[in-house]
Amino acid sequence: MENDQLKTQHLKPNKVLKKFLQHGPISPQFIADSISKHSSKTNIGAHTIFLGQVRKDKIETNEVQAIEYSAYEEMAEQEIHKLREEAISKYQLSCLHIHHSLGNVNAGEISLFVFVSAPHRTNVFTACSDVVEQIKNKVPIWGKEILANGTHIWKTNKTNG
Amino acid sequence: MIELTVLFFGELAELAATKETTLSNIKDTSALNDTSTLVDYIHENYPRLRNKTFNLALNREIITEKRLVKNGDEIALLPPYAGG
Repeated sequence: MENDQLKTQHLKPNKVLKKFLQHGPISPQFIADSISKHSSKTNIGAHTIFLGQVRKDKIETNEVQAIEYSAYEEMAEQEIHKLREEAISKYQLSCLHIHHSLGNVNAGEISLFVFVSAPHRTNVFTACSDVVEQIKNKVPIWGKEILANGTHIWKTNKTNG
Repeated sequence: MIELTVLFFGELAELAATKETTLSNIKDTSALNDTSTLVDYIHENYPRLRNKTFNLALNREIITEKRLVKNGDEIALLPPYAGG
């Protein structure tokens, strides 16, 4: 116990204001509920939504069945928190919700949900695209592509995602 | 004496066959007191990581230059990210 305290004593406390990582796929119901919750925020006039879906890529003769996501969770939460705060201020957003899966997500299921809201449409398209790119570039998350024959390969991000 | 925690992620955890190791009984004056010599130590002790690309995070912040380490530091080996 003493050792654990010693180890983390000069790390920033895990003051996570929002939890961005969740286990398993992001359900369509969760997304629908999230949209629904905004009906009371009547200063908003424009939303954009990005949904990242697991592709059934064919790798030689094998198809991707699922991606198993893992993360350096404390740092990932910290980095998403940071990029979210920056985007809200830069694009003058009313709301910005970010959810990313951990663990197993099957092909066809959603692993990333970015929901951007502002009074007018001008900024929401750019903001959404910018936030998705930053998530891919700055957040320590990894994906193991599970293939039909039971083997796996480690996913690499391409610029066209 | 200082104690360091080293974390392995993604493919690196698989190749190292561990997610975490604690390096203890390191003398403050020993060679293993900065991130550069720490990487040498890792390459020596986990040879399967030698040809792998990774960034280092010191206490959850990416570092791009050699930094001194101190007791209780957490060093993470981060292969290229693949979120989204």
